[in-house]
Amino acid sequence: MNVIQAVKLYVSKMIEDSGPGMKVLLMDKETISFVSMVYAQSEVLQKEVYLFELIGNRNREMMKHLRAICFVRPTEENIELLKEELTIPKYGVYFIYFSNVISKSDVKTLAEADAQEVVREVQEFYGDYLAISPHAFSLSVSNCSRHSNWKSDALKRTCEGLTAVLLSLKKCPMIRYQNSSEMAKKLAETIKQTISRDTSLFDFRRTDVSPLLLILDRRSDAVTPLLNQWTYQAMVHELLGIKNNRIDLSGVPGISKELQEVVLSSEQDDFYAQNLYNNFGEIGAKIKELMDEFQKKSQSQKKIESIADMKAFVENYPQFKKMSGTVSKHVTVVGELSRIVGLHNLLEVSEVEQELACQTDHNEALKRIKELLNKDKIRNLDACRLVALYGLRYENHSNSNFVGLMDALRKRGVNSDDLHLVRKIVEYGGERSRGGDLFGQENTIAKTKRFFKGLKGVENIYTQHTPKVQDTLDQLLKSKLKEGAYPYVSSSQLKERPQDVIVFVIGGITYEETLAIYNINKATPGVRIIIGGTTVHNFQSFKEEVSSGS
Amino acid sequence: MTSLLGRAEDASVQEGFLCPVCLQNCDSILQLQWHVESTHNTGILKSHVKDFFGKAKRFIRSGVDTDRLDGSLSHSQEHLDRGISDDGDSYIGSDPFQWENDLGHERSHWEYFLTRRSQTIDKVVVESNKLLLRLDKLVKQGPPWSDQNKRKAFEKKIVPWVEDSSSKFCRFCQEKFTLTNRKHHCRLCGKLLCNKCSFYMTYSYCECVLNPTPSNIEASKKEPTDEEIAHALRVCKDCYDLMENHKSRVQEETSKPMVVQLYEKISEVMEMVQKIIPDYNDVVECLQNAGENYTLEDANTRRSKILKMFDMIDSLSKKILTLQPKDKATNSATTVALYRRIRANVVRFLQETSLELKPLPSEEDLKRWKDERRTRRLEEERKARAQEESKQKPKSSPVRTLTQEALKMVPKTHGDEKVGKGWTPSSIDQASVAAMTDDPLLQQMNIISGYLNQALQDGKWDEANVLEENLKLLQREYREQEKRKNAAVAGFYE
Repeated sequence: MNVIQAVKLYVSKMIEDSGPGMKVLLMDKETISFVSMVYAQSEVLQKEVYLFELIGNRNREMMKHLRAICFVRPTEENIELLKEELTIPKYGVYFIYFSNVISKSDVKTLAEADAQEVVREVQEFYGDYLAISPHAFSLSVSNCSRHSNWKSDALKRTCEGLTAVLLSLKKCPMIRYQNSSEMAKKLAETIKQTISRDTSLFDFRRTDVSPLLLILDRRSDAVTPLLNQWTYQAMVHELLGIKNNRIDLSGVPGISKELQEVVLSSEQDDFYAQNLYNNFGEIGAKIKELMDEFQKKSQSQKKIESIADMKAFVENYPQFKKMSGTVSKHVTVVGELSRIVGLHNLLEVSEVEQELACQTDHNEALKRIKELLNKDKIRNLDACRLVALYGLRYENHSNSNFVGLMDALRKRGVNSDDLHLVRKIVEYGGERSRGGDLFGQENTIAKTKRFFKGLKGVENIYTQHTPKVQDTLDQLLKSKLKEGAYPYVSSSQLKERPQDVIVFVIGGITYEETLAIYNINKATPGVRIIIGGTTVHNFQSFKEEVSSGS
Repeated sequence: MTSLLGRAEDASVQEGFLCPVCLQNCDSILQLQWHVESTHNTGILKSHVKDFFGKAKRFIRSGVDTDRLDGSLSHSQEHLDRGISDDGDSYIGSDPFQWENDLGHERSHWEYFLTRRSQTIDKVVVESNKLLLRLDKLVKQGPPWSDQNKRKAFEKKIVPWVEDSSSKFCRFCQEKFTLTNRKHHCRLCGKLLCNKCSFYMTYSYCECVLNPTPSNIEASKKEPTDEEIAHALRVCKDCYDLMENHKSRVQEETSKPMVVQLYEKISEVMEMVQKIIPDYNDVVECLQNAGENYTLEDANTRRSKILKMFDMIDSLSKKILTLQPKDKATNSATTVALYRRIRANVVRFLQETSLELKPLPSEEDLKRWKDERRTRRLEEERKARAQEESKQKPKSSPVRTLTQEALKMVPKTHGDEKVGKGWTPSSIDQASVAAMTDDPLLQQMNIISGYLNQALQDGKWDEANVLEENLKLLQREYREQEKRKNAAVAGFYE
């Protein structure tokens, strides 16, 4: 059930099969990102893969002495490019791997183009997705809906990506979906059809308990992508943006050239892997620890009290940089995060956000939002998300002052597009479209839970919120998930408690949710859960998803 | 893409021979070798084996990626994690970062591709062979022609020309044939085409197609003379492509570019190094046990052989760097990148393998080991004698002599093991080990190899085996760690 390993094994197999000699990896724009998530350049270099090329680049040099490993998606465009490539081959031999199912007629086209007999292998290897963590994947499909319905190319790509996940993990699952979502139903049925159309492909050794695919819709929880985050990975994505494990730091004031873009990969960066899910404070402490240790060695007396000190320290001690190149990278990232947090009063904003999401005191919440809206330091972006949160939370409250808050936004000078967007978010994730209990108001069990939570005292006010998917899976694992709300797509049902679960969220997941799934895995014996989505959101990308989707 | 590749160079290639332990830059592989041996030689260390084992294990367990250390270990771990352990209520779940799986599903289209391809290929091969036969006749029996009409008649005899009336249009440009746009025949297939769409094959080019020897290839590269152009064969694009493909294919089969020759040599030597290193290490080990199968000379010759190979790999890869890309004008950036990365990989190989190489023992070492071995053997003999004596005279005068023997044995840290105390290595200076390096893994490795040497010297084979296994485990982890470190620094693809 480890998706990173699944893709990695495919790539290793390709390299192995191509035999000894100098090699070039020929990929398309998507597969190059799939591979880069699981393999570092230096790692493949050791296996004699010296070059990486895009198949779309027609100006490649002729290098007949290289063996080409070609890993591409089976798109029309790629078939055409491959056909051209084989007619006038640039490399000595070709090993061709498609990341998904390819039609017989396309194979025929290629065979006929290969008059020079340079092809040595044609296979399907289903590494057709971005493996983010061992238990999380994304399909890089943004803005998948229009008028609350699938865009047809997005549905096709999502279906392909999801079946590739199943094939790479050798799972032929039972499928459940969120009944309130037309899109979830549609996807569930399409997957079911794909499987039954090609049953031989999905003919795996039966396990005692059939695996389960649970398809959800982002609309059932629009709150999670609105919140500011405080665990490392989630926070970096929210404030700086992670794209294929890369972070663009070129906008950071006074950044040095080699740090303008940094790679954060849990596969290759130990510090990152260990601190992925630690919160901001803990990471600061960890870095400080490392530096103290180094200071002891270098007998320096300078005190490190703040993150600014840390940055100065790294700059002054080139040896330290050398010793722990990765740590200096993280110092920069953490430094930038803390600058942004301070600049925009994010702690204060987050406190109110969490209160909105987790507490029930309407008047207090309203008062605090109003206070924040009056402060200049607060970004318009955060002002919008607060009002959107308020809208989602108290849209039907008797004293709801949503209109008043919208007015306040307008007075702040928020442009009309963004004002419109706030309304759209409330519409997107509102009670009518979510069709489930998001805030735990109706459910008495949830109420008592909340009550106990309150008694225990909150450990960290900034991380009180738990995403809804955690509750949903809780119920699923207790076999309490209602059939009516989450029906099976076929007549057969799972009698036992599920063991291997794949959760897929249409409209994208968040890093907060991958953390939640990680925690469930760690806390629950005998269960393995992975989560995936059309994409991974922060507030910015979620805004776009909503505005194109409604 | 080129910009992507360009940037990778800055980050990924750390040129030179950096010591993997302290990052000191050494100028040549030999110097690095010497540096590693003199500076990072395994010291003699102090602590108890058990104590240290606990530490090592704890260290390994706390690492994130234990699964990569040892499949079976993590497997049982995973079982435990998934709650299949039998200690009742302490059930916990599993860490996704330790999940393992096999290669995913795969589906091959190779068979189908092959049948489809051979159908196409057959046609091409038949056609191409036919044309080659014709070309052969045209060239061998043809020139030089002085009379164009005679030539035409000859060419028509070899290749039947289609009727002029068979088509009104050129099949390539679709233009109508007229008085000015005359009809022409391809000399290889005999079909019609217009002047614009004609290709010409000079005789030296034809020779090269028919028989691509180096001299013919050279000749065909020359700028053709006016006379040659006048006598060139008019052909259509289809025929020209077929002949050109045939030519380049035969050429590729017969000639190897310089970089490939060098690269193959490097790979070959690398493979040899990997074979000979265990052999050398065995010899050194044998010497350490004061075995008599090998002499210091044996070790020395093997070692200098390895070092010579290192040198060879080094200079071969440097030679690759100096190669000039054939096509200087166009984007040779890729070729340059290729050469640089080959070099980077070679440097990494040299660094890693020189770590595996055991240091060469000195004469004094050898003497010391021999002495130790001799005293050990003497004692064993004495012990054996004692045992025999005690067997022979079970009751009469045994007690005194036995205890005496036992007493003599005690200071040599030997016989007391039988009493149940077990064996522990003696003085090992942990502080000195710690001073050498910051990496806890390396420290542990140094400590272990110190223990291992002692165990071997003391003839404690069981302990030595355990130690050796542990050392291997640590080495593997260290390599993984290095790999990841490199990876993190290098970034990916750009």
